[in-house]
Amino acid sequence: MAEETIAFQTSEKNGWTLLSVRGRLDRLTAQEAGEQAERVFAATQKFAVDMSGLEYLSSAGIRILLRLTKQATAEGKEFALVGAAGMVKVVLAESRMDMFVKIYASADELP
Amino acid sequence: MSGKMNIERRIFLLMLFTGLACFAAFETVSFFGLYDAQEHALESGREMGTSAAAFAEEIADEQAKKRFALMAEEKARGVSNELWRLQEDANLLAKTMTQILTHRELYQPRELPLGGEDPIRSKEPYLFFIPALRESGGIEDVLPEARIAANAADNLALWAQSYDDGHEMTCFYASERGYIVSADVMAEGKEFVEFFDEWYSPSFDPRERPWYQEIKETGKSVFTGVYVGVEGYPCISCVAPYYDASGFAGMAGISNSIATLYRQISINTIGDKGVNFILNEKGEVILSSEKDGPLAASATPEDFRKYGEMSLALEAACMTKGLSDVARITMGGREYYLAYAPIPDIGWSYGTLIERDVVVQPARDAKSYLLTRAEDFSASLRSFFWDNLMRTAVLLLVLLAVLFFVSRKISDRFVRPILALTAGVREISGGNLDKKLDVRTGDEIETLADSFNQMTDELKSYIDNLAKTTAEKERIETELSVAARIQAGILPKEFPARSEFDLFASMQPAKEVGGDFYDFYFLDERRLMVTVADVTDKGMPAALFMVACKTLLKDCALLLGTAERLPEIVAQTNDRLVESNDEGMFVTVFAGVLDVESGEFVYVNAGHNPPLVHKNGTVGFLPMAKSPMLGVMGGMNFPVERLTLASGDMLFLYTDGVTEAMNEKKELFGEKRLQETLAEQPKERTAAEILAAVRGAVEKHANGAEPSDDVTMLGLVYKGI
Repeated sequence: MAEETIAFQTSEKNGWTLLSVRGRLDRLTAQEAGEQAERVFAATQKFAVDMSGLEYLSSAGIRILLRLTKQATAEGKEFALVGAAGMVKVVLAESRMDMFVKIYASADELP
Repeated sequence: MSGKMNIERRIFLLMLFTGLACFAAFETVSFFGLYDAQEHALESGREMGTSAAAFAEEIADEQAKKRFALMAEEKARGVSNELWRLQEDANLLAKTMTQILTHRELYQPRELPLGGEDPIRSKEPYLFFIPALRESGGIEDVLPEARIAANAADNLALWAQSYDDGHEMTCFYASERGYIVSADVMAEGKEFVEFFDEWYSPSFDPRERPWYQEIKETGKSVFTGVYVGVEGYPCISCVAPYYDASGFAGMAGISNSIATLYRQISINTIGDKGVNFILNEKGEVILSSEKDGPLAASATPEDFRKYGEMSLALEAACMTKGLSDVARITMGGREYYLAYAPIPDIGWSYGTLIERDVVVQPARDAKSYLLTRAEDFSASLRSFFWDNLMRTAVLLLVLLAVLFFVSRKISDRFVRPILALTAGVREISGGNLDKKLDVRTGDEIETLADSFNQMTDELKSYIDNLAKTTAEKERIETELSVAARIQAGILPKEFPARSEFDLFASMQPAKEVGGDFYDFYFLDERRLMVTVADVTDKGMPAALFMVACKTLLKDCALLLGTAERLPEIVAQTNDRLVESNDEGMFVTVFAGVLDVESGEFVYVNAGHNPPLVHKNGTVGFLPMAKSPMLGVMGGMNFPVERLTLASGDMLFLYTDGVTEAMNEKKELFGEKRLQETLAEQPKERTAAEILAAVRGAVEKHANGAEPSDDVTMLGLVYKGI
């Protein structure tokens, strides 16, 4: 079920390690996504989640993102969200994620 | 069970029948082998007996022939020796007389007793004149010569002496001129010579005897035929010619009993069965050991060369020709050996006739002995065979018994693990999963038992797991129900009955309870605080976090007490939540304070989805949140926003359980549908009715799909004073 609804891909962009998440990030996929993200995050200083392929983001997904944010703050790493669109962008806005984490419209905008 | 072929019985019968088949095969082979051997041995025994007997008979024949030939030769030589002496003596007597008569001047006339007139004692020489001479009165003419010839009388007496063996004999000179000088040996008990009738018969004249004529012509000594002497003994004479100055003068002779010879003939080397005989040159039997019968010597002998039995006649012819042989002849339908050898110088033949049966009897005995032995051997072999058969039968019975018990034992041993297995499996199926099958046979049954054990282990572990899972599930369900009760219990159920506004709220927990809550309370007489929040987690932690959040918020609100200090209320709550938020939980909060008199609504949206407001006939969303959710970071500011409600306006607060309610196709209910649903509501509807309508729309959309999140709504219809 989880495999069907979410997929991950890692790439490099402007010295950032980019984790592209496709599908739905909800309660069902949150744990897997969290583990995947933490694994990638542990090996890099600059970590960004590309959300351009994400269709749905629930509060469980928000929670993952907040946890990563707190981790970045604690470890002195850089963390950013890129490519959020549509419903995902709305959810990010509604939950005011911009107050905790840097959000860019696309990966190209990463410093 | 008893009627069926169980494995034990099958194995048992298999072993039994295999064993039986082996025994039967072995028995059959050995029986026929032994039987053949026995038959062969019997046949061989018989053949051996027969051939050995035939061989023995053959050998016996050959041996007999050799023996008979030797014997015949020996006997012939013996006879010859006996007769030879007689002949030699006759010749010596003749020579003596020839000497005297040719040298008469050397001898004085000598007086001798006259036979027939003087009593003549045994071995006393005497003078005798033949009857014809006495009748003619010519005695005086021959007397001078006779008295000269009488000088040989001492010689005669001497010879007679030498022949004295208790039988009668005579040494004599028979003169051509008619006188006889003789010395006789009388048989025992006889003192005087008896002059029997023949001597006085007018016809008696030795010169007329055929042998006298013969020696006169041939000048050689000759044997007379055998005749019966005075005593009744057979006698034979040998006569030899003697001469004077003018030629043939008479014959000298010795007549002797052939008792010795007869005895010699009569002694049989082959028991009593044989017949010994002497055949003369004319084919006549002159001497025989047999008194009667065809081979007895007879006064009227017949020529055997003309005998009725051809085989005997032929052999008789050979005998007269001086041949020697051992022939088989048939007489009167019986088989005989005829062994014969010539008696040299005389022209006679010595023969021995022996019945063949006597000769081959030992061979026949041997044959019958051998056959008996062969029969004995066969009998013992047969007995051995049957004994062996009996022994084998007994052994077979014993082996059968052993086989029976061993088969029983083995099949039992074979089946025991199966029975143990069956019993164990029964026990396991009876519910004892701790039962371990202990089968150590090292074969498939052990493998089966191990498989059973493994299966039981897996079953047990499965059941344990199931139990654990069930317990866990129960625990979770208990937890959820506790959470749900906490959630439900903490939410206010009594809505204030005020004319200024109409408030209704509902929280429909999802199966796995979330952390939604709503709240409302008066800060003072005019100000109503309403809150809708959503904890970003589910289950018990979320419920507890929700409780904490709700309590903190209410505490702060009641403590600070005014709408103007709403940012402080939220900020303090946030700081407090961050302090104790080890779980990393967050909560989105929409909190607002309504002045029921003025309709002014002051609110803080901390990361919550914007509520809807029904105002001036349209339904619209409030602006997006300007503050972040609570529990993430301390020291944040939460600026307030303001809204003024007119009478009839309605605020609709909700959590994303409403907009994110999904149907089977994973389609969200969405803000648009919510907005439309609210817009459709007539003005006079109460908050409760509106919420029921929204819930109906959401349920309709979900179309039976289970809600994944709590569905929390709060409706506030402002009526004013």
